[in-house]
Amino acid sequence: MTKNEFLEQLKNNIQQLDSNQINEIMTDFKEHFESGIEQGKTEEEICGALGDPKEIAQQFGGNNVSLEQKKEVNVFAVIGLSIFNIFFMVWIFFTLFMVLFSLWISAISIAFSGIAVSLASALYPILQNYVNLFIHPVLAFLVGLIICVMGLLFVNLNIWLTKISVNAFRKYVNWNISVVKG
Amino acid sequence: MKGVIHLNIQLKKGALDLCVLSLLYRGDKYGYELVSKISEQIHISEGTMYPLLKRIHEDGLVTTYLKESNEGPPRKYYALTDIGIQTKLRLEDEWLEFVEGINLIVRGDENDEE
Repeated sequence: MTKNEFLEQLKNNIQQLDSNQINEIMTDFKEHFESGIEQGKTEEEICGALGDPKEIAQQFGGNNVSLEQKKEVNVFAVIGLSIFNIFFMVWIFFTLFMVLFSLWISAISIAFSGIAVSLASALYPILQNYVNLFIHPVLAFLVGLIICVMGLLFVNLNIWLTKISVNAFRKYVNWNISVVKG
Repeated sequence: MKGVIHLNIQLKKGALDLCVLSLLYRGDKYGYELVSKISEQIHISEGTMYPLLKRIHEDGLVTTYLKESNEGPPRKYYALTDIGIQTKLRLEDEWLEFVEGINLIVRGDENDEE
């Protein structure tokens, strides 16, 4: 590596620092090269002893290093992933969401139906002119309870399914992030 | 092994700080001089010394000034501040204590097993 190559790579990777700091750093390293050359060393020797300019830049707080490398590697991954997401995964998650939504509505409806039946049978003495239960009120009350319990079990199932789905979604999102970041 | 590697990096960093401060304790020096003297004794990437110098400068341990040189442009010299001197003495004590402790354990003098 020549002196100018070294200095250029160093400078390119400390651009996020303010201009005073950049100038100071560049002056220091130019001075270093001059002193080294005075002592009879070649530019290549001095570069070798100094080390990797990108790593040095990183130690000055040079974030550009990682950004540079990551941009190169991941553009295709991001594009591919976006296409996959738009054409496929969005619909998968949409369907999953609709299914869960339906299940919830069903479960809640069943639970409330059960409550309604039990309530109606409990209030039978008052309501008997308006409501026809077809079976004995006590039996109806029990049936209502059973339906309500089934509804609640259904709700529990939904809670479990929803948790799994949310987890899966979260993992998928995290996986996406890790692919983008490299 | 990750924990061990981290310890080595921190250890080296603290040790290098002490080296720089000790060299400056014995007289102001310019960048190349400091870097050369240290790399004579310790295997390092010389370039990583400059971030160190920037850091201790920002931390107020050293000041800098320009001094004319015989050949060519003026050089930037580093000098210890009062805080720098105090830090050097403190780090020196900590280091010697640390090394003594390690040596005791390594040699096994801590518990006489003979």
